[in-house]
Amino acid sequence: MMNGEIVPTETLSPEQLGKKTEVVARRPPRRISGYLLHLALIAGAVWSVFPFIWMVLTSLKGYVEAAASQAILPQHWLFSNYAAAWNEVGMFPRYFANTIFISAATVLGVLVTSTLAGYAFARMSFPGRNLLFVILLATMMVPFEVTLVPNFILMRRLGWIDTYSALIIPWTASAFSIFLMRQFFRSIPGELYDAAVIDGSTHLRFLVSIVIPLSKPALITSALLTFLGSWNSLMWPLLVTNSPQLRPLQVGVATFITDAGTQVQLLLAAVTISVVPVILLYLFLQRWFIEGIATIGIRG
Amino acid sequence: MSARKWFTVTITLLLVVSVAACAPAATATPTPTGVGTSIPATGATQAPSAAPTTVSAGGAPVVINFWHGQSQSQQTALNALVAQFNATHPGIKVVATYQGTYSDLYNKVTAAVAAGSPPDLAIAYQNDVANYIKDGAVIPLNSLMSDPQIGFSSADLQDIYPAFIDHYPQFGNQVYSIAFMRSMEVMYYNMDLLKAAGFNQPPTTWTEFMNMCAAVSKPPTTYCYEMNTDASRFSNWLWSRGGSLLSPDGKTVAFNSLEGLATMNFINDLFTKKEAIVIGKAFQDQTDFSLGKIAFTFGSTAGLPFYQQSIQQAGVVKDWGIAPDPHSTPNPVVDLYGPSVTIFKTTTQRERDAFVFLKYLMGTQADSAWVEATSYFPARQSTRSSLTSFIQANPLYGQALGWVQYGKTEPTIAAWNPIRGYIADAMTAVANGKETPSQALNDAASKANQAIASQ
Repeated sequence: MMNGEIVPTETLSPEQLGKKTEVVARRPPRRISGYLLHLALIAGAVWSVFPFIWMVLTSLKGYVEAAASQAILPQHWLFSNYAAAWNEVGMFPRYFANTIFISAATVLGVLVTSTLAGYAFARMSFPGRNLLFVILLATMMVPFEVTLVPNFILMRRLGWIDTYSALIIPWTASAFSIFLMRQFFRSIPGELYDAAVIDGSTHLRFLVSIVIPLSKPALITSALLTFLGSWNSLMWPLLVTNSPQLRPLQVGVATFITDAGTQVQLLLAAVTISVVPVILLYLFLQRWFIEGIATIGIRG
Repeated sequence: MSARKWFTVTITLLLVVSVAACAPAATATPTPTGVGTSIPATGATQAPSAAPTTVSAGGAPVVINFWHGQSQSQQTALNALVAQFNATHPGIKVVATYQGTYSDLYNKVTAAVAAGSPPDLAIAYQNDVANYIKDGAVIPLNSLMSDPQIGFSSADLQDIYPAFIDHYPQFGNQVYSIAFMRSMEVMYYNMDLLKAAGFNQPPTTWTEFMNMCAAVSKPPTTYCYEMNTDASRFSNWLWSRGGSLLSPDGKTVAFNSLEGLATMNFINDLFTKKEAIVIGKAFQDQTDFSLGKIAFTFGSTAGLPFYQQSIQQAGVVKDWGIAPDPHSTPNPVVDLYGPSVTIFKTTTQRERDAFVFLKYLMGTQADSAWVEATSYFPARQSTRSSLTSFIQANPLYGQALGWVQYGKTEPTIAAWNPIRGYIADAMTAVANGKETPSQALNDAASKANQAIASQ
């Protein structure tokens, strides 16, 4: 009874019966609401995953079938589309290597800058802290397109056009990641810092020894979001590079789009090839990612 | 590993990456050069076939940057032309760079112009060129074209189709861009459906077209036409009825005319009678045509390879072809469209070197090689003689080549891009029955005139 198990009503006293009837009467709605909840979650999951399934299945169809057929499954499974897409782009290995390098370096940079800045905004007192934080948040409201030309001019003046610097360094500071880390750091009890100070700790020592080990979910969330943005980037790399040897994966994918027509099946094969590493990374890190998002959502 | 060690390792890695990232790629192209960095040439102004044309002070060839939007097989063909040019012109090294779609390319050029580092040449649509002219970023080509040493001869100018040389009426009618790639608006027809309805040839007049539409349409399985809404469709339909898009001085639109109204009425009739549908997604008309659901589509000859592949794979349509749009004018009219090449303001010598390359692209040899690789139309009439085997292998292309002489081009005004949008909106409004033909036409004309006035 304590655990809510069902007890035959004939074994109960009238007093107990009255209470039990009430319990039993409440159970079906709870069970139904549970079913409804799961049904909604399943529908949401299917809704989210369907584009990926469609992408993979369409990438295995023929040209006409990919463009016209409403059927989900391919009539003939053309795995050769992947080889064709790979060969069509020609520089896929180089594009992959560039994208991995650029994304990894950007993530590394973002983690360092966000950790330091997030900590300062969360734990350190200095004049104008809140104003600076508001200004930082305001930068998130400025559309990327507005800053495109000024940023390009800056890159040119720095002599970074057609170098990895232009692809990496401007993206190694992220207002959103700083916000994310600041929110997470604020959830760490202040008593920990007081105790650390009593033991002679500095801010940096406290950050490195206490805060960072406790912030794995937030760090991973920030890393994943940055990685995703960097992995999918197209306009900026096209803008600041000219050499094919410096260009990332999405440039290769974009070459399938032409004014006269598009080989949809090859385009989707190329897209599938390009998203597999991101999906694998997410699957590997999803526990911390969800934890990070949930924690920040609750405490923020 | 402790958190402290992790932190140390991360910082070290970041420093290493930052230092590494500051170095240019080992295989990067030679220094991109702009206004401020161009190298003075020493041996200028020889005939383009002579080599070298220009050599930098250090003896290295002058690097000329050519930005384009050609990908995959077109990029391969273009790179081959560039390599051939570089091999025969030791004083100039053209570096051709893919910069994404034409829209991406325009964005990049705009940013580069603002930063003072434009390319030497770039491919651009005419309305984009008009914007570059307004910014003072590109040069008129008239003097280079008539230059006694590197310019076109009178024989060249007679040989090149007029539709490949872009005049800009808003800017003194000067030439600011020249095309080496043009495709053509044509009508694709399904002869199987026409024969089944009792017709032996495609329509040559709009009346015939409407009669055939009435006979072949069997909704919801078969329709006469699937509309890929685009201002180029409207332009060709208007011209084929004798209408004009702009007034002669280019200062107002002229499509709100009787011919324009007839064009909108044509769309209205097709949809009112349920003989036409609008495409649901990009290029769906190509696919539905190959599945035998549609009797006619209108579109670019650049789509021919896609139609051929689709029809071959579907195996439904056996007899099909292309024809110029039906017309009430004495001769057919075809919209010859496609981007052109424009030369940016740099130094006199770089501009001349860039023109030498542009003239090479317009030469018979390059013209022929480019046509065979891309199925675009040649810029020169004389190129046809070297395309005999290509035409035999591609009879539809050969057929269309005969219509280049009827080519017209869309306006070269800066406002043309928004105007294209207004026209497309009007077509959609009529097709959906949301506006009457005259309402839609006048609305589009009013917005278009405002756009021209504000430019």
